[in-house]
Amino acid sequence: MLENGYYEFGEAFASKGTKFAEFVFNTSMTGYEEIITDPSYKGQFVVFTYPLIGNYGITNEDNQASKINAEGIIIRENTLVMSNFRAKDTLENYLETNNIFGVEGIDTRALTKQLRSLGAMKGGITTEHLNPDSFLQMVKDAESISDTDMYKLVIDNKVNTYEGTNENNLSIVAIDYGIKTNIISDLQKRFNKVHLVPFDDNFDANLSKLSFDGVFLSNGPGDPRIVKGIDKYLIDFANEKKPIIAICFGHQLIGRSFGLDVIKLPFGHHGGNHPCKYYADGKVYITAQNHNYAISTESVLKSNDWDITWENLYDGTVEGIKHKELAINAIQFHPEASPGPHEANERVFQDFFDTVNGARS
Amino acid sequence: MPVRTDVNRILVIGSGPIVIGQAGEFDYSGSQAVKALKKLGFYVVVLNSNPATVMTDPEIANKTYIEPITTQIIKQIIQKEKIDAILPTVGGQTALNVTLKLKEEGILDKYNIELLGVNTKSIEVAEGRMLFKEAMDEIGLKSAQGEIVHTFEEAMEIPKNYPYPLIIRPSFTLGGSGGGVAYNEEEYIEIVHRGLDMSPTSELLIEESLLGWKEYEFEVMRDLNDNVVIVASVENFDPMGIHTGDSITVAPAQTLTDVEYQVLRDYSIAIIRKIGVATGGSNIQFSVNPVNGDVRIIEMNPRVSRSSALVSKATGFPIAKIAAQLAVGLTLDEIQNEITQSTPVSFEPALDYIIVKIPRWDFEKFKVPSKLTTQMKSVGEVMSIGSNFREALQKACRSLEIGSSGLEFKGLEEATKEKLEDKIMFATPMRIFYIKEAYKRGYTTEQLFELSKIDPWFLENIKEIVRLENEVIGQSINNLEPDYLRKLKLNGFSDKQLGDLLGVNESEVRAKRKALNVLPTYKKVDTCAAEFDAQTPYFYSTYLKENESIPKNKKKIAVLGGGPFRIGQGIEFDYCASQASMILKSMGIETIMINCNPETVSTDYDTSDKLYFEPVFFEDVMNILELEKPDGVILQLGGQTPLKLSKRLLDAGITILGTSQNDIDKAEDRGRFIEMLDKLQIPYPAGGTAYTQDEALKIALNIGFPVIVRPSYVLGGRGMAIVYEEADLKQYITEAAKVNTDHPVLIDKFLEHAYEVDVDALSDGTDSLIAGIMQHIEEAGIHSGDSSCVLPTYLVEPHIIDKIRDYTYSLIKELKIIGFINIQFAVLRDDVYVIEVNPRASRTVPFVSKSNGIPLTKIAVNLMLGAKLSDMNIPNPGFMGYYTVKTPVFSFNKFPGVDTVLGPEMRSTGEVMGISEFFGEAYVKSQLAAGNHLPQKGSIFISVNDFDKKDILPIALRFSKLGFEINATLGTHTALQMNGIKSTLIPKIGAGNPNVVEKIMNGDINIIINTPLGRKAYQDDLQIREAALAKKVLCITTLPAAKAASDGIEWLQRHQITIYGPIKNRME
Repeated sequence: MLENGYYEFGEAFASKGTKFAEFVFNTSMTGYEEIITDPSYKGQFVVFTYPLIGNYGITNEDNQASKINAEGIIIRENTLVMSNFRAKDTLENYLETNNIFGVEGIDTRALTKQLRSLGAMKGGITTEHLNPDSFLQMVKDAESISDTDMYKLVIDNKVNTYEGTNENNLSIVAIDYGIKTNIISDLQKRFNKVHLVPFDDNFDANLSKLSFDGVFLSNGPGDPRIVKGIDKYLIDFANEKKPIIAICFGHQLIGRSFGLDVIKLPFGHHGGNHPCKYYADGKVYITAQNHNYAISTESVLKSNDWDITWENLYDGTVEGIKHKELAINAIQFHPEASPGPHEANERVFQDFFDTVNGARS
Repeated sequence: MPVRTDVNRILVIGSGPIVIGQAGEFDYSGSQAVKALKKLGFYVVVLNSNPATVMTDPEIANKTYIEPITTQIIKQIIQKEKIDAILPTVGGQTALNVTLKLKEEGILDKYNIELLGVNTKSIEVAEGRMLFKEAMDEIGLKSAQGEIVHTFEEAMEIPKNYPYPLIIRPSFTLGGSGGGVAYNEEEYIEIVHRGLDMSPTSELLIEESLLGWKEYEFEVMRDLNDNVVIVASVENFDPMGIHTGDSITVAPAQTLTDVEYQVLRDYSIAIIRKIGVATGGSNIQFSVNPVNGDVRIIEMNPRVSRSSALVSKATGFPIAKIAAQLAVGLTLDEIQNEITQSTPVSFEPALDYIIVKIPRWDFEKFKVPSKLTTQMKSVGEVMSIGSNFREALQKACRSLEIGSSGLEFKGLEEATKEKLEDKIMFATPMRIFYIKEAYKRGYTTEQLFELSKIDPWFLENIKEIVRLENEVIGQSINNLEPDYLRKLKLNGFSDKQLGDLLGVNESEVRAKRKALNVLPTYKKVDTCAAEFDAQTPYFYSTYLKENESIPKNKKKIAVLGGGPFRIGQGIEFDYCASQASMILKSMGIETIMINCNPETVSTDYDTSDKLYFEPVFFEDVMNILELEKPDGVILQLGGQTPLKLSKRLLDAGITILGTSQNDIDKAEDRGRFIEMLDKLQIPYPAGGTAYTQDEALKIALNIGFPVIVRPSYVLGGRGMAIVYEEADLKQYITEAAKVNTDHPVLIDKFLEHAYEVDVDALSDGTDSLIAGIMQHIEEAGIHSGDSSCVLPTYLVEPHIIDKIRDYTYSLIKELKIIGFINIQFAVLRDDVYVIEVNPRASRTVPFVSKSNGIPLTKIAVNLMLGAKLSDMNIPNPGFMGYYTVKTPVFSFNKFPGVDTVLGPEMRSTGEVMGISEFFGEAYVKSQLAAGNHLPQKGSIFISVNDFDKKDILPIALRFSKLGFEINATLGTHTALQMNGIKSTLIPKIGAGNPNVVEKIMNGDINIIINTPLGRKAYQDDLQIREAALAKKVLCITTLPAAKAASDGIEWLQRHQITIYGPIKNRME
């Protein structure tokens, strides 16, 4: 049931009960394990446009967090059997163990068209026998994720330090809003130390104990426009000439902190096939995407301080920005892929490294 | 980057005749490319020897040449048309090979010709097995372990280091020709010999076997700016060991995690960069070990391929069109996706459905074992789209037109356990049906995996179909709930299948289904999984909540396509159906196309206003017609497939355009047909229908031998034979036809030494137009599709032509033809007999259209809409100062051991056309285009049957005068000697050495004329024809063809072949 009254009956194949969350669709044809564990999907039901899900099971190796973060999945067909040499568990069982909803037998294309034309919206799933009208009222009354700091639900409350595989003595602080496992490993490949610091009440205290050469802002769930408190740190870092790099949610937070507008996209970008142009080399990269919000193009063009580095060729939205003078470099899409194409990985993480390294020398 | 302005005149090379491994997909890609280039403002010249193609329609390019695809012809076109670039990547292996030759002969350099989309270096690396392996090693990718050999001796070293089975792959051959899997030394020696013969560079790659590994394909595109996208991934249902063209495949890949998918994606990008494909599409094949994920690169095709046509249809991403645009300088981000009309094509399509492709084979025609190997043998394919694998699979099965209404095949219940397991272990076209049969018998997925190595994911889906069937059996149709029925439909079951399971007939299920409002929902194929609003209406059916196909309230006409290509129903019919759709569209009528063959122009999303990629099966067609409610349906252009539906569609209240059903039936029902001929006093060969052997003998003795016999229940000449003696007739009746009261045999007098004449005509109900009278070069008794023919007739007396015209007009009148009719006549001395009447477009329509320069399909469509011939300004189709010869092309080299002798059963896969002011040159061109080498000197071997011993004399004399040395076996030798023609006696097999087969194998014979007679002679002469096939010696099996060959050779000895000039549409 969507907030606009659209509903369909399907079959629940994992958890039972009633739950409310935001519906988003994802067009990736592979990578459901990565997607459902991605902390950025906290507070969201994921509608898979690819109809056959679960085919290769769950590997327990490709997950992006230790548990499922999406609130539920809506699919056309759950597989009859899993088939892959790395498969350890079935999707069905994995959802059930994590107490997550799985609904199959849905016209996911019709549902996707609703979300495409009216935007990602609130909705509910129930296995109870409810009157559609009363369930619709419950959906409308449910809390919206735009009103909640979703990231607080997915972050760890302690600092974790990861040793890098690189002998360059560069260390960075990664501010955690719900970071994906693969972003950490990509940062490890470039930097000597990665201190993962949750953006919680102890942030100040934790930060003061660390020395670092640059700051990374992670991806994360929810509406970046309601996040409080980060702007002053970022402005301080900028004043101290500490380089700042970011992905997705972090990229949007940078925008907000430095006076750029953040807008909600009509239906967001969720998939692994979006073409983005990198202005520095004029080439097109196929990228992994997962965001409902973006920095407004107009606001970047109006500002005198920022350059657009990457552009989404589907709708012309901002996919990357760079400060004209300061060492700030942020990316909207997901260069770490997982799931998705790898080709922008090298480019973006090299740029990140250059940004941090360049500021030091 | 903008479109290049430094090239202007581009030659696009087509793929020539349809052969196994290179079919209609290249007409699709070729015509797409030509249209795209023309639209960008280039002057486009087309060369293709195949007249049955949309790309050779004079409207498509600026100039069109139907000539042999050889370097000498291309050189002349380059000079005449001032060509400055060639696009060789949309014409298959034929175009690539001739391009390499142009380079080799220095023609490219001499005329300063640029190659678009590829360079010769990258073709060499991609196609040369050794260079490719080296290139892969350099970028750290593993290809199958193995070695390259060039001689038999080198090859024999390999089994010492590698265990059997071994895979043998010849370089530079089409569709894996000459390759195979050897399980032991005997097979190994045989395949190595064949492979060395067939590879133009005598190069073989011999590899470790990856049998049982999984097979994947990636379709990749690259532009000049080095942007690369993956258009789609394909997973093979059949594991390694079977040519991908002979494998059932699905898209996208189903059992790869994102991690594994991205690894293959990264490899694909690395490979296309390494090979250096400048721009355009490539197909890359991988093999993955299901146990540990090990990857091997199998091969890459640096051009548009059969797979790219499939992927284009599967995704809505038009690879060939975009490849052409990239070749002239555009980049992916500069080209708009025509389906969304809002996003660029520099993206990777997202599918929200699954497609299944199943190949279509015609093994019965070749009478060889139907074993599937690394050498492709299928003649066509179907694709279907569904919400899940089961739905798509069952739809694909009923698209195949092999008598299945879903995943079912009658008669497998009788197979023994041993046979069943054998049929699952060794792939044949029937394997998937045997797997289902095994599940019905209680086999487990583990057992079936052990036998077949097919991924359990596929197997379990077949098991689910069986489970659902068992669930339905015993239920009553009256108790079916709508949700349950919808679920069954979502699993792909047809009404026919459900009727069989429920014990009721199809129409009851249909009625019940409609009463319960369980109707198909049509979904769009949109490249983006609904992320953007799609503009292009390309649909498939499934059973879900929302229907996206909203019928428009305007005048509309549905055109039914011909389904999968097969022998006898090939690209010619797709040409007609596509033409019709394009013509109607240009007239402002909404056109609706229904077809399921991905290798076609008709299933291109911009051929029609609306495309339904659906089976040409009663239920699926009817569902669409009930939704769309078109003003009429055109059936007579898609061959026999749509025509077969005409009665049921008419009964269901559908308006069929053109000739009425009653009149179609008059031509198709044998009893009514004879009645009509009697009434019109048109002669036909005497004959009758026999239900027992005695009756058969009686009829035969009555009309006199030889007779032509065929089972009454099959079409297209299948099972037909010419019988000369009583004993043979008995044998045929008991063995081949298994005659009984349900399956009678038709027996007709065989008109020996008659020749055939084919007529294509059109009528509006009042006036008629005889578009072409074609004379067959082979004599009557050889299927018209396997005969060369010449237009206009040569050496047919005027009074015969008059008779043919008379009979044609009276048949048209009697059958009240509206649109096309095709009539086959046999001429014996002064008598003209009608053999067959087809009230539809025939196989020769495109050939006649191209020859005469008259767009026949366009006229026919107008006639079906009520236009009158007298209102159209149609040029005279008479002699216009040139001859055109159509010659069939065979794919016998894919079937080792096949008998190449021609008969009443059609076996050719394609055709070519030769055009010239001189008959001799037109004939030579058609032979050259068909790949038949006409030697100008040397030795000729003649062995003819007793009936031909007299008529061979003038032909033998002619060859003797042309300077050929004549060799003959005893009977023929004696006949020649007695008439003063010098010949050398050579022994038959077993009668001394060197015998004829040895001489052929030694290369001492250049032409063979062999007309065997009776079953025994066929067997004896089989070795001769096999040897001829192996050594590529011209082997002629009829006297008229021998005469035409002598005409051609005489011409060839005195002249150079020159291009005739572009073909024209004379109605403009």
